[in-house]
Parts: sequence; structure tokens; C-alpha cells
Amino acid sequence: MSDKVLEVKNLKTYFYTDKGVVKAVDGVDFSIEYGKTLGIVGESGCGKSITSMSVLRLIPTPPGKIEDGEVLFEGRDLLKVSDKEIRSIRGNDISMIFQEPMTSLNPVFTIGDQIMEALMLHQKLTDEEARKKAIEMIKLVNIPRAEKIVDEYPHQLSGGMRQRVMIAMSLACMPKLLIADEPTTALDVTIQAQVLEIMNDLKEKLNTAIMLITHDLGVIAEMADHVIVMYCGKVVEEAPVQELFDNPKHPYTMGLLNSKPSIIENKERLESIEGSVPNPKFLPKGCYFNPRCKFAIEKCRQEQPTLEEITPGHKVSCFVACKEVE
Amino acid sequence: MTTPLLEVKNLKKYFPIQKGFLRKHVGDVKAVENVSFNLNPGETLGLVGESGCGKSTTGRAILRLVEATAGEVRYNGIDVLNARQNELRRLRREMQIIFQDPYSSLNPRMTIGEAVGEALREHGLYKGKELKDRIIEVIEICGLADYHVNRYPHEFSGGQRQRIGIARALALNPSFIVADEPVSALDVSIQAQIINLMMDLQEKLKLSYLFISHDLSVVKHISDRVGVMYLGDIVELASKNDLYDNPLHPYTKALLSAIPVPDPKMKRNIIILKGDIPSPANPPSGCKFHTRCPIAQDICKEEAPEFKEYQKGHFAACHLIGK
Repeated sequence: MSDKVLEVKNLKTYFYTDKGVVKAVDGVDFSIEYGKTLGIVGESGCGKSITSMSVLRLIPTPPGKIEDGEVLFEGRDLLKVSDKEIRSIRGNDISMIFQEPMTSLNPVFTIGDQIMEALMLHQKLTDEEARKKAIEMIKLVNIPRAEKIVDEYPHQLSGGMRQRVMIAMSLACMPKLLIADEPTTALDVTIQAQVLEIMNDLKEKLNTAIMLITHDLGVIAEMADHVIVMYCGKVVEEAPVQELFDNPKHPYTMGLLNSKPSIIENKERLESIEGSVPNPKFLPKGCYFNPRCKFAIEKCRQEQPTLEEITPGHKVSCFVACKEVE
Repeated sequence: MTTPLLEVKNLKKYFPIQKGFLRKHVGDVKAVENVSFNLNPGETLGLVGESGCGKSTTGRAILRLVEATAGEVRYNGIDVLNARQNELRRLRREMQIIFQDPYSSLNPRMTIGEAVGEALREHGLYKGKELKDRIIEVIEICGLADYHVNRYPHEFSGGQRQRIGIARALALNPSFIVADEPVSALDVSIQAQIINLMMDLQEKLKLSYLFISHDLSVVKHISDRVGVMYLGDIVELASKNDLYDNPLHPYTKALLSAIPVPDPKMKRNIIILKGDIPSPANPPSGCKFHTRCPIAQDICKEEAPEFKEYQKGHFAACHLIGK
């Protein structure tokens, strides 16, 4: 058996709008091993959330459509299975935490009802068993007064507690893969620290693989084992976490790392990346990053680079970086 | 010693809670309880804290965008909180604000030229060709081009909109700007552009900033001195190096330790605070932080600690410092 829980190959998700086709995800490959965390970084609009939603086939169709690719979950292609089968996987084998804990809980059901739903549906637990398990899950994510909270409604909880409820809910069925889409972006730092600690704890206890989507490189450094960096729907760099921070190769990754103010060292001036992310309907010719790139050469303006492995495990999609290595 | 540009003393802002048909006054949300600080000319004071700690309300109360409940704000010696309408109008040329959300702070039906020029027209400072020239001058300083003048906000990206927000604040040539989370809604690469722009402008135009943010690394980068707020109080205030290298208050320590550092090798001792921030409508007794404080003792539950100077220029409010 392979040690990969999820393998995504050449995933392409396009959106068809009146004004043209948006290639939100355009040929993305990656894989996640059991019990490991894959971090996906990128700025708004780079396609990181669409990638995660494509894995569970949550893309609204139309206007969106998964055009090509394979999503192999334990060897099974999720893009080809029936609707019934994918429903038995969602929330059971693969579950998801969304960014906004405020809007992703149903306000008219109690916390308990919402956690129990998945348990009763997938694990065929009785009402009583499910309730017991729900309380256990609430305790697991360090929410005090679990017996009371189970009968409370989302509006009675704070943001951090709601996010922990989301985690409890997503882990109730012991999924093999947890997709966390910006799980701490809406939270304050001290609450973020609590939530990240819980996620790391649970990963170790339950051996769940995590696909962590975020724009915060600090969170990536703390949580991820392996990282992919996305820009305009493509993976531009992929490496083990330490390698990526020590030895970033793609100019975009370097830019991201340099533009963040640091709490440890005093930087005189931040190195910013010039310009802004291009409109996805009018992507530049050649490498999508070339108009903002300091190192761009003529070739970058003409041809599109592909992801090449430069050292074992470290892949980069850049003519200049690849040439340097040779 | 330089005379401060802005003096804030014991600033307080309560929002009343009213209930029932008769709107009976049943309590207060104590958004800002006791805030005092000085801001020197050309200086940047960072104000950090988590959501609901009163940092934005402080900024707004200083500019009288909300009326303070009590306290004193002096700008160049002028009493801001008791200024009359016409005096306040003059003051507003000097004191401006940059808002967090560049999407909702611009009127979608106004072109950029109209938006930036609005204050200039309102104050009757420029007319006709001079007005046009001034608008173009301001937006060019902020990194936009003259042909942007006739465009509408929806044609711009987030970073460009924030530049417009800055241009609007700069149009009247102020010397003090409250920047309320100006980069929080932006992506990292754009964030860096805006921070650099703000620092360049400060040098060029001799501005003083009150920089409000929840992001401690951004605040560290841009500020000279930093104040940490918790539930309406400043709990620690010091020069940035003192505060970040040698934090005295347990809340500051926890806050600093909780920031994820972009370096996987760094082994940090994260102080994980228990529980959530209490409601400002019903703050804990004594030191407000005692419910989450890892080292709290009995005295903390009973007595509110005094805000004292522990080292030169390093203020904090905690019973247990040095014990």
C-alpha cells in the first residue's frame, strides 16, 4: 500500500463566465502522506481554496467545471465516483474546516445536533451514542462545560469557540484527511495559538493528514511538513518546509518571505513585490509572474515554465532558478 | 524635551446598553476605560491588541468621530474634546484618518478625483485649476497616476484603493494621521508596498502616525513606540525595542509568544492563554487580565494595578512585575 492518502494529478478547474474563461486551477499536482501536513500558500485569487473544494467536488457547476485531472483518495478517483459515494466520503473520510466560523455553522441547530448529524449519518450511531460522542469531541478540543455547550446555539459562543466546534465536528468521524481552509485567519493571535495547538495535538493522536490552506507563512512554518506555493492557479514551488524557508528558489516565494515584517529582526525596509496579481481573465504571456519579477529574462516573457525537480523533493517552476542550478 | 504633538489623558468611552421599550439604561460597554499617552511630532505610536480591546475606539475618540465619555485630548495644546464646531473644522485639516477596509470606505459613485478633492473643496482651500493640480499631486505621491483621476473605485485593486484612502487623508496636508488597521485587509506582497509608502510619506511630509493594528510584526516594523491594549486599558507602553525584547506585562509576553514565526527551526515557548477575552460590558474585577493570566495571584482579583514607569520610558500595569 502506498503511504499517500491523497494524490492530485493535473487538476484543472475552470469557471465559465460571460466575460471569458477563468482558469482558477490550472494543472496542479500534489500528494499528502498519512499523518502529515501539507501547507498550501498563496495570495487571494491564486486558486488555493478552489483546489481544496475541487478535491471534495464542492465546486458550483455551472459556472465552474473540473475540466481535467485525477483526485486519488486511497487510490480511488473522487472525480469519477458516483454522487452517493462522494457523499459517504465527505465528512467521513475527508472533512473540511472553513475560514469563517461565524457563517459555517447553522444558527438554528444546537452545537450538539450539528456534531451528531455526521456521526448518525456515517457511523450509524444511535441518538444517545452520538450525543455521548459529541460531548467527548467537544471536550477533546478543550471547550469547558461540554455538557452545557452541546445544547447551546452557535450565537452563544465566541469566534474561537466556534472554530473549535468546527474542528470537533470535522474530526468526529475520525477522517483520514482534514482540509483546513484558512482555519485561523478570522481569529486573534492568542486564540489562533490555541486552535493551532489543538490541530497539532489531534493530528498526532488520530494520525490525520491535514491539508492546510493559508496565506500566513508563520502558520505554515509552525504546522506544515511539506509546502506548495501557488500563483495564478499554478504551483510555482514545492518543497519540504525547512528547505522552502532556508532555500527558496522561485522569485515569488522569495518575495513573499521578504515582504513580511519580522518580529525577530529589525528590517530597514520591506522588500515588496511590485505591481499586483494579474486579472485571471487576462493572464500575461509566458510565465504568469514575469511582469512582477525582478529576474525575468526574455524567455520568461515568451514561454511558460513547468515544474522541475532541482534537488530531491524541491520543485520549482522558473527558468531562471532552474538555469542557476545547472 | 520636545513638546508632544498629541496628549491623551484618561480617555474614556462607554457605549450605553439600553433595554426595553423605554430604552432604559442598564449598563455600559466599556470600550475604552483609561487610556493615556503622548505622541511626539514625527513619531509613530503603534497600538496593538486583540479584537474588542478598544484600539479603534481610541483612535476615533481622539478625532471626535465618536464623542468620548471623559478625559482630555490636546493637539498642539488645543483642547480637542471641547473644541467648538468651527475650531474643530480647522483641527480636522490637521488630523486625518485612514480606514481599514479600502472596499467600503470609498463611495462607489465618486471618481477618485472627486473623492480625493472632496475635503479640499469642502474646506475651500483650492479652486479650479489649482484644485486639479493639487489632486494630481496628492495621488502621484501615493503611487497612482494622473489618468486615474476620472476612474471609479471598482476599477482598482485592494492595494490601489488603500493608496486612494491614503491620498484622501493626505489631501489637506495634515500633520497627524490615525491609521486604523490600514494593511489588515491586504495580501502580504501588497501590505509591504503600503507600509513602505506610509514610511516614505512620513519622512517626506513629517507626519505623525497613531498606527492601530492587531498584527504585532507590522506594528514592530513601523512604530517608534508601542502600546498594548487589553479590554480598554493600555497595559504596557514602551519603545519598540524595549517592548519586544523585554516585555514586562504577562499579556504582552503571551501575545508575543503566540505569533507564528516564519522559520520552522525556531523552537518557541508558546504561552497559551486559556479562555476567551471577557466581555467589555462586564469586565473582571481587579486586574482585568487576571482571568487569563498564567501567574495571577489573589491581589490581582481585588485591586486594579497602577500604570507605572518601571524603566525609563517603559510603562506597565501589573502587580507582579519584579516580584
